[in-house]
Amino acid sequence: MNEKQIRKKGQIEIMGLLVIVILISLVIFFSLSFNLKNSVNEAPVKQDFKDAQTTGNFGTTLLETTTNCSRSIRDLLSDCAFTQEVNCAGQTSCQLANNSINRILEETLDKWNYNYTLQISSDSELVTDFNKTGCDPAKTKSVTTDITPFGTTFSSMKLTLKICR
Amino acid sequence: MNISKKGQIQSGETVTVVIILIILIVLGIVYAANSKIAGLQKDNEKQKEIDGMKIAVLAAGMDELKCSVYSAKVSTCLDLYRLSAFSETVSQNLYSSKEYYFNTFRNSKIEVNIIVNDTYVENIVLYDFNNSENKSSSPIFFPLTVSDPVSKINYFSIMEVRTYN
Repeated sequence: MNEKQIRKKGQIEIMGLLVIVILISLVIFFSLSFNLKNSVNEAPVKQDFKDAQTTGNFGTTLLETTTNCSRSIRDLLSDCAFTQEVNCAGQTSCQLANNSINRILEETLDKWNYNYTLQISSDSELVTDFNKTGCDPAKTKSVTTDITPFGTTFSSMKLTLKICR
Repeated sequence: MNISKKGQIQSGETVTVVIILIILIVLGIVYAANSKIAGLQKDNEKQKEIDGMKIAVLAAGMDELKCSVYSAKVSTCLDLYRLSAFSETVSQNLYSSKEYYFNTFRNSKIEVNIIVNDTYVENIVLYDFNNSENKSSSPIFFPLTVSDPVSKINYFSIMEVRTYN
């Protein structure tokens, strides 16, 4: 074998190695991109659906709940926002509503480690709100929002629950 | 002598390349199989959660459990006494009720946690059946109102559903 032939053989071997390296890189690239795409697409959809399921009924159920004072949270919030006449065992309607809602949140969203914001407002005014530390809707990837409007004798009010991921 | 040594070295190279290729192919197959298994496990978990959601909606809408006076403003209301009676009937398997409800609820556990007051949460297990060794899915939480028709108190409650397989 002369020197020219030896050099040509070496070049062909290098080409072979290069082809193998390129093939392996392609396989790794495609498998990684496929896997990442799957994991990115699946998780939020499933979690959003679960959150929607949880928040969907939360507002209505919360408003219908009877407090220690034998009044529903809906009535207490209405009184808290407009007349502030209710006084039960030395507590105002606002205090009673806040205590009851806090207790429910402790047993539910807090226990499940959800980050949330719960706001109750009348036409333009915020009546009360509850926040779990770390829930900043501006910084989160997905926010599931559920708005429950409810009418009172005086005006309309709404309860807004946001779950942040 | 020199020529045969060179031939041995060349066949050694070929064998090495073949071994490396085989190792790469085996690694590729193992990786692909692992990702396939992980994908199937993820799908299985997702399916269990979807089944859990279906079961929660079915259980919350059962006539056996619904409040008798159904008010339009209460979205999902279950009767406290009906819940207790249902739980007792199914846990003692009266009238082969467990077999009857197995057609609807399959391998799952359905419980209702009722927030009674500031310190007490009552737990009623409606259905619990698992004839497989599989781990349960992560729980599905479904908020609903449990009403006591005698004292006319509405309790904030959470239906918790876990499915097996």
